[in-house]
Amino acid sequence: MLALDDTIAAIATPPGQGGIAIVRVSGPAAARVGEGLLKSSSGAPPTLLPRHAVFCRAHSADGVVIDEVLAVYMPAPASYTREDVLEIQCHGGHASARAVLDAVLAQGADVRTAGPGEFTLRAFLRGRIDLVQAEAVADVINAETTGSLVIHEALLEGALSRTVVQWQERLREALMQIESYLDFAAEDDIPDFDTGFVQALLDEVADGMNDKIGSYAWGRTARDGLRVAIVGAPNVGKSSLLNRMAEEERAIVSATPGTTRDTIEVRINALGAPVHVIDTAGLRETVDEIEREGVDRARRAALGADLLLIVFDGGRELTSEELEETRKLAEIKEVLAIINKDDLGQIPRENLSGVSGVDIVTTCASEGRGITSLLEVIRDRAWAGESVTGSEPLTRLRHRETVENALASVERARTILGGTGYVDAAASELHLARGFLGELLGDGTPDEVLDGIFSEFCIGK
Amino acid sequence: MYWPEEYDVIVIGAGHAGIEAALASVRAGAATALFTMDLDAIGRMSCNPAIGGVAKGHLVREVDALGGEMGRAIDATGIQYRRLNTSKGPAVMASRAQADRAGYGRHMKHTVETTPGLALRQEEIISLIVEHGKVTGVVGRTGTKYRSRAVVLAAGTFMNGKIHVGMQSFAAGRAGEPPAKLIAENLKVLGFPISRMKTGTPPRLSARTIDWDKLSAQEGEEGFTPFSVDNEKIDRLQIPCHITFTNARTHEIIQGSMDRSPLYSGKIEGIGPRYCPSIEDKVVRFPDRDRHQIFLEPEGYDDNEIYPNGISTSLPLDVQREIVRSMVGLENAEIVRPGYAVEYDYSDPTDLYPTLESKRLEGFFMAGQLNATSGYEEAAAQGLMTGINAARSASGQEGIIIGRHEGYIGVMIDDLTTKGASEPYRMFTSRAEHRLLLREDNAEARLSPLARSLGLLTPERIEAFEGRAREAKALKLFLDQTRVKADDAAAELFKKLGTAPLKQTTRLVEILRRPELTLDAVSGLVGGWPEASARTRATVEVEVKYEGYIKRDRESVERLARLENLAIPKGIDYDKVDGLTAEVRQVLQKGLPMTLGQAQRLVGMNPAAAAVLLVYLRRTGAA
Repeated sequence: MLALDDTIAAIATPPGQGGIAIVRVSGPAAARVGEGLLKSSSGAPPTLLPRHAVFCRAHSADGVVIDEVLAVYMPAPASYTREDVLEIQCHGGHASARAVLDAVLAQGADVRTAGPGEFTLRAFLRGRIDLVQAEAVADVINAETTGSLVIHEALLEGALSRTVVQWQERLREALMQIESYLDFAAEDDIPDFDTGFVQALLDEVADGMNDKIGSYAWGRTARDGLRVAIVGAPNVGKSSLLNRMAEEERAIVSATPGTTRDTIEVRINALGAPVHVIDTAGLRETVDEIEREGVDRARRAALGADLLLIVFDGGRELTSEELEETRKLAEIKEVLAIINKDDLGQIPRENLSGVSGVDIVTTCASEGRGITSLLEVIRDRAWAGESVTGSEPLTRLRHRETVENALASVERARTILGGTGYVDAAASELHLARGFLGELLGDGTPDEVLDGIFSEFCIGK
Repeated sequence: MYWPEEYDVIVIGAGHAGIEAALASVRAGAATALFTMDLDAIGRMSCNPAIGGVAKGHLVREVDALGGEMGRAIDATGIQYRRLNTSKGPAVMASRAQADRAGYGRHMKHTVETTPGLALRQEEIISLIVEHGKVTGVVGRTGTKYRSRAVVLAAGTFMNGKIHVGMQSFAAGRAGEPPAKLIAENLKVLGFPISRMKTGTPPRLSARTIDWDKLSAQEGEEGFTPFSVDNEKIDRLQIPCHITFTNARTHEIIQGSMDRSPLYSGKIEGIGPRYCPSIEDKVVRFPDRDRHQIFLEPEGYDDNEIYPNGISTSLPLDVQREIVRSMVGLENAEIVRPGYAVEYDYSDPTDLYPTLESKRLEGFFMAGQLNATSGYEEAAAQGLMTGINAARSASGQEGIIIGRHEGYIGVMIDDLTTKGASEPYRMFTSRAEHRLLLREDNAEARLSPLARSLGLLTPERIEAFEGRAREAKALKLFLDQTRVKADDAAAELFKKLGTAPLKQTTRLVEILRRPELTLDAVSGLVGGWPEASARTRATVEVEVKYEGYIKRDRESVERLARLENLAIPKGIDYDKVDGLTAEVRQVLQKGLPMTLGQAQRLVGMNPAAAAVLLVYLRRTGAA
């Protein structure tokens, strides 16, 4: 997949019918492909002025006109891949784009179909973007909510990369001091080693890394979404709540307790935050084998969630079992208590105040009351109270693990410099930390890791 | 007229590079001739009368591990020995010695004179004999032609040398010695990429005229581990160096004389060494330093000349006198030799293969200052490699390349031949990626197996080396297998050592890992230690304490080895490699890398181009 010497082509727009479709070609043969396939109204190949949309006709290998197209030629290096790129906009629909792609592929043995993410891989290999930015391309495409989009746009634009480069720069400054200390002896007439200066640089880097590692706790939500499980006794309105949050009738709602047997998972947009809501079977002792399996699944879903919504029926008194269950769950999970059917008013908020650390929201799922407030609470939890713009969190486990590795080395270097131990080992740690940061940006990243990252992409990007 | 004897290898120049080249060539089995312009100048220390230093000491030990002479010579002729950087870490601990300048030269002259199979000749070589793109001999000033299968040029600063003192300049290789002009012209005619560099040296002072009582002394060390593994200890009288400082007055004098500095008036075009600057450079570049430390180094036991380390200068002689006399203890000091700067020709080292053979002239090797390096140790290390490789070339064998992870020699030659040098190249430990693997203490373990396989070691050395290897193995095994019980006796001993008591029975190796403990400290914990020399103990101790780092570095070397060592076939046509830019193609065509690793390090390469090249090599079955 790491080949760079041939020309790749793919349909860059999603399959199916649409207004237009785009066939993208990148590589040394891009211009030749254009000349071989496109004809202007005079019958001659069109003049493909760089970065101009040129109206022309695409011909198949046997000379048949396939479609009227707009061709845009972007010679290297000012293109998505930093290679010569040709984009052919044809009519949407499967046949036209497919025929144009076939005609492109017929232009020579050095033109082949692109693999998933291969255009972006080339942009990375040719140094236009780093690996964090390449990953952000996929995440921008996959973003389902504005919050995810804003965060990943910032990554694509290079926000995290700049922070990483700045850490590398600070480490380099520290290393310059240390290396000079190591490489020159007294005879060399070099100023003394300024440990205070070096420690200050390392403090700054370590603080920054700790912040970033902390941000993953909510930053990962931007990619993975917040997992919210709705739990509670049968027939308290869990499924109605799910349907309200999803703004569609996903779960069957009935007055019969135990209607929901299996867990139902819905991806929703909680005011900009991506959230997976999981509706579960009502928790009760039952002899019904199917329902019992449902209750087991509900418990597993509860354990795997980031946030539990425990729903209470506002029309019934709170039982001591419910209160005990809530207390137990609140000890191991973040819990939000929902008093549904608020109009019935049987549960005063004070009744739950004995469970410390539990916020309470009142709703009426059947009438849609309180849902916006609930979504606000969930959104704020998803972003951990941070502003989505400008805080640039880590969103991928790979980022967190690499920064953690770098931080561990920086910490060891600080220990050595602050006490016993030889400075040459501290230098080794700091070089290692720089290496980890380089890997984060894609320097010397092993092929297997690259393959894994780019295989997440769709074809044509 | 052709000389009746033919040689396998001819070495031109008998300085630090040429000596090692000639001796290594002989050891590698080649009939060798060594030419010098002056038989009385063999192994001369043109500048500082000292060998070693950080990274340079490492090079000396590597030269010794490969059978070279430099370590034995300084062990036999030093007047002060010290270990540097002992508090900074095992990777950067390094040895340095002051030499008896005259004694060092005599030792080297005697060695080359008494080496069987080495012909020594005083004759200036004025040109190379080239036939069909291959060097086949040299021509001497006497008109004599000498045939050989390979030639090593190690001409130092003599290539078109020009000395500057103030605004006066004259052609010279060193003060009082003529330059080598004709061979320099010959190289230019042959198309070598020649440019200019400069270096300098301080004025020498008369010891009798220095007020020693005003100065603090720096003594040598007892118990110094000799440079050469052939020596168990050094048994020589050590004499001190003394220290003085420049001051505001000194800096004023220098500032006031800049218009008479050939460096700052633009008279010198060559680029000087940033790391060994002249005193005028230091004053200009570090204006906020109020003083610079100057070491007054004796040049021998009974030598009246003193080398003031730190005031290399090309200012006029009257200014030199003022500078010297502005310093404490030197108020009445007499200059016996002027300081000067010397400009000389060097040839761009990227024009060499990593065997140090010329890419443009088969069988022709270059070593030392000619390759844009500075320092005796750097020169000696290159000289040694050219000697080995010239001898191998003469007998049709492949050249030897030491890897960057195997020795500073490898780091230096790889740097020079892939990146070139924009200023005289000095060895630094920070140039190595795997510094903790390249220590002084393990130079023999790293390089002697190679030296043995190349036939560069005497039978006695091989036997001693094997003995040391066995010793180290036994000591490691002992540390690994010996357990210390957590009893009262141990608790008492641990208390004495100032370290926490044991909680349970623990292996010695684990105890030694504690940062506060040394091998000497733990030696009282148990009996029955296997016998081991100080050298072996030092190495084993470092390898135990740094095991994690060393392991990590080794793994990193192994991970990268496959790509690093991926061979690029000779005669590869880069025009056929699609996907390379025209610039990168040119870089590769000029650089002629032998491996993908070298290709990656060429100036002008980028990761994408390396990826393209890798895929091409895989596709064409080269990889």
